[in-house]
Amino acid sequence: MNFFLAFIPIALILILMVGFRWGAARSGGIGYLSALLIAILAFGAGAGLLAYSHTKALLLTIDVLFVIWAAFLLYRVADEAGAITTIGQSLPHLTADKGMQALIIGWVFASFLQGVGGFGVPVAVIAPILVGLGFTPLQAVVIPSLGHGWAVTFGSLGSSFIALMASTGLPAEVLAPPAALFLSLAGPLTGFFVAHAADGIQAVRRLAIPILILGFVMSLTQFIVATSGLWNIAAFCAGMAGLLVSIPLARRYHGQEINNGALDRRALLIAVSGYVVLILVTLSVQLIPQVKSFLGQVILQVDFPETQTVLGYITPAGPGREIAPFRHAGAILTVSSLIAYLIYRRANLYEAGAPRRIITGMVTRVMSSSVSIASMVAMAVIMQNSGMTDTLARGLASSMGWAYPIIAPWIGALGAFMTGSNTNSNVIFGALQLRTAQLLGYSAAIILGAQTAGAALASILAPTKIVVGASTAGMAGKEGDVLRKLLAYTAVTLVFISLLAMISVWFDLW
Amino acid sequence: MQNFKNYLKENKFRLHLTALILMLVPPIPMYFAAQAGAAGLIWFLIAIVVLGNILVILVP
Repeated sequence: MNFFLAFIPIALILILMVGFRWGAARSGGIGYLSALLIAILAFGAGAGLLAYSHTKALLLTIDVLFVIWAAFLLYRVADEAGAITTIGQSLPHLTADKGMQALIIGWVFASFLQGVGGFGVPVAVIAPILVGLGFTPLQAVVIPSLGHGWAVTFGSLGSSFIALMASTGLPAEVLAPPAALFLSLAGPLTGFFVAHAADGIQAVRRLAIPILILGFVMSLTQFIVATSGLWNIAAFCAGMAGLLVSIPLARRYHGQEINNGALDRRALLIAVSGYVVLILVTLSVQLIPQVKSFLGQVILQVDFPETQTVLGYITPAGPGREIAPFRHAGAILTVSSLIAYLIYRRANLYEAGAPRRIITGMVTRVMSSSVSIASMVAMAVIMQNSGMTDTLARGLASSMGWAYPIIAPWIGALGAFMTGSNTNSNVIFGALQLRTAQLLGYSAAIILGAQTAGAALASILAPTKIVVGASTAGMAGKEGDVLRKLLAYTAVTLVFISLLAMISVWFDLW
Repeated sequence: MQNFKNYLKENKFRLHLTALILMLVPPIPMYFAAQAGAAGLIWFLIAIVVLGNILVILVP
């Protein structure tokens, strides 16, 4: 009974967004209210528990909104300068093939951006570029969403993988091989999905060879780097390798020749400089220890006491979300935006009144997304602290028994969908998956590999991510369409991970 | 009724901004209320957050 009650908020969001085509903001409001009511009436959440849940949710919301607002700022800085249009007009000179454009930008570049940034940035940055290239807004959101999922666990400079290690206490040498293998094998599959989303089954047939080449190069790179101890830069290296291979492949698969005039290399260089700045700033902050430690001196953190529901579910005492404001992804994006603005202004790309248009454009478009994120994060934290999430996971585990490896990635996926993050899913379900694997006698490495792979691939379904993409592509309020489109692709990748996990258990690979 | 719906549509940005404030501000005093064990104040602050969410649901 409690299992079904715990499932109601998620079911309501899914039904409203997919079935009734409600926007994420309204659906999130319903999800929050239902979670709050069920937590109080059925799970015995008291005033104290709910108060701490709301405060934890506030910290998480600030963490997410900082990135989203800053990502929008960078986008508006580039767009106001005409950089997005310039990049869009330049790409057909490399390849006019729609499918190939989608693969290079929506898969390879998205994976690279996930490697260096993450936190929803790939979709936020790439969706408007694809719209500029003539893709429909729906395609523009779906393509980078599909393209970056496989790089999430080892992307964001390894933040999700760190969370998995922290929540389970297991070292990287144990956890990395299965997680890297599952995600690396899923990589080429997502490439085929990107081609399909861009130009249908014809693109899949036409571009099978470049997809396999790119998939092989990126997947192998990620696997080797992740299992060599450099898991924090595995997705970054994979994306970089993919970009290097993309150039000759794009020349080979250039599609129909079109007359677009001469390529203005200087204009293109200035246009992409904003994103080059983002990459340089990110790498400087993440890979130079002195810079990282200097910027990490200021940390915002709140300690929370132990809470308990009437039913006895205990959330241990501990610190809430740690926010290092000066080395935060949002801070990196903000600094990159300011530098990019100075570069574009020096190149005389702005007309009078540009700063005001940049700010008002950003605030107007980001508001709806911010509201939905605030609602959904609060819903997720209330569900987590009141034991609803735990009830869901335990119900799924006990009902599956011997077939637990099949369901393990789906539990990870559930967490990612609810929280909008592979990292949060690993935090919530890592320990539970470990304990269940031990109880059932399965390899913890395989089950946890399936957990993080499922969470990474399903994180693209998270309403918070979809909201970001939909907003930048100009289809805010139509998030349900995006979710519906992504559901089928994601279900296939999750089934694929389930099979890989089951095979790994059968052959006792780890 | 139609006028009310039009009002909500025309003022979507302002209403969303109001809702966001209603959702994000109360959790701060909520933390201190919980530490002081002031259950009544907590329920009042939760009601404000609920109000913010209802506002969002109403905006088409």
